[in-house]
Amino acid sequence: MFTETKNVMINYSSEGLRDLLLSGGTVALIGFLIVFLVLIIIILAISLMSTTLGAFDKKHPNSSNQLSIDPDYAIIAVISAALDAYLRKEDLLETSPPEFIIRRIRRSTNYTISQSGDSLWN
Amino acid sequence: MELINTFMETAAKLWNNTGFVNGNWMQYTMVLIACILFYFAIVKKFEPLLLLPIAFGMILANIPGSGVIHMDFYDPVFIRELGYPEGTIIAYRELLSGGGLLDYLYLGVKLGIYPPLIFLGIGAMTDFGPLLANPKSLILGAAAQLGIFAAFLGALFLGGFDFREAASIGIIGGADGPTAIFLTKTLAPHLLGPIAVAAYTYMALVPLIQPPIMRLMTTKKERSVVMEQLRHVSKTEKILFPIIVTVLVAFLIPDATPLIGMLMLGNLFRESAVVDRLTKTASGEMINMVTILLGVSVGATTIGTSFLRIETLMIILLGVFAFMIGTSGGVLFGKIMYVLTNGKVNPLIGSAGVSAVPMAARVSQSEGQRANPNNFLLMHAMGPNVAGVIGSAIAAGILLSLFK
Repeated sequence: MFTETKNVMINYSSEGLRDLLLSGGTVALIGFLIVFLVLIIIILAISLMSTTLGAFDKKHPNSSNQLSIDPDYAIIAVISAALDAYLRKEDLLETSPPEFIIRRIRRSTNYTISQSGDSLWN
Repeated sequence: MELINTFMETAAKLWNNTGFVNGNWMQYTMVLIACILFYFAIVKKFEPLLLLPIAFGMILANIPGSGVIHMDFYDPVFIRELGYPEGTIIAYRELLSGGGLLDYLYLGVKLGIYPPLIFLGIGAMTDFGPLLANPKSLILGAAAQLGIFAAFLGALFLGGFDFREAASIGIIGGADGPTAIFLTKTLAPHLLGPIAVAAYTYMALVPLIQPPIMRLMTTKKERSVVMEQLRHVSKTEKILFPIIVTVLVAFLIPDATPLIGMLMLGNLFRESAVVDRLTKTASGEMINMVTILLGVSVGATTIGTSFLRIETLMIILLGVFAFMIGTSGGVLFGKIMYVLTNGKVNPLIGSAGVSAVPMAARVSQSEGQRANPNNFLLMHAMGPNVAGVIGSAIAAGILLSLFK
């Protein structure tokens, strides 16, 4: 049908407009749906890839027992937490370090932490 | 006395050869339009990288007798009259014997070389991390392509264009210059000038066109939503992404392969981190050079006789319509995601799905901050924004496969 309508001259009679509506509307609808379909296939492929990588890679963000923290921010937060503890003359390792550092990370980076703070030390 | 006569004759001959004598009102009008584009590019800084060379190409092509470009050489009717075999797209004998500078540069557009090369550079500059961290944002990139198909219908019914022309006009709604040029040079080469100018002008006007629509379609509560921080994306994911997308899209929509393939090749250069020199070249000097060539040669297609027509006005109106519908489609799906996720998605990121990287994402960011000064939507909007690039290239591939 589409190959026939490629270079069609527009006929503005009521019948011509109806045909145009049918063929043009069909093209637009099908085109839009195909864009959606292809992008949904890509979403599924990305999700499958991420899940698969997460299952094999313990350091992967999708694997369980892992913090959703950018490592760069975590390092900065750990260093600043240690500096804080030093200035307050606290012993970092004896004052429940994971919770202490997680609090610090929350404060300084606004990152959402979904798992136990212990995993930071894994 | 004879000396004076000779001098006067020579001066008259020279004067008669000037553009002032041989020009017509259309050419002067085109020079004026070029000056308006210069104003947008230089003073207003609207997409200067492209508007500047386009405007200059416009001037060069409209100077009478300059002979820098001959659009006849690419006209199917002219080519047929010269007795070339069916399917020939360039009067190559005439081009080789009497072509001007811009005739040769225009070959990069006509043969579809420049747009994929621009995509190679864009790929080398793009971080698909936000998209990988939130793959659902691809839906917003698809929704914003609604403008393409709405403008396609508008061009058919209101503009009286045929299917090929309507498809080329519709692609303006993709807010992606190279994609618009890539599609139009195949389906409606005679409309290339107006479509390219409209596409790049509207891309530049994204900060003016989008915000009123975004505010009209959303409540303050929706605009104030602070989205959760995106997860970290591993290097392996970033490397696998371009390969997977290329294979999938090339198999599903082969006509989108030149654009998607080059986009993903550039991105693979970047993410693999083993071809640093190629990444630098693709994202630096190469894309700059191609931008110059593309801009000047597209500008040169805007010859007064073919540009100053009622169709150009229709294209410009349909282009802004496409942009508005595309923005609305993205925001509408953003609202649907807002409802489905119990208010975790800010609908403003939907408008970034119209491509126009990174301008549309910046608009989402600024509108989000306007509603809530603690809102940082930029990275969230980059997901739909880069998805829009993929979406519009796929839409172009679909239209090509239907109408080429």
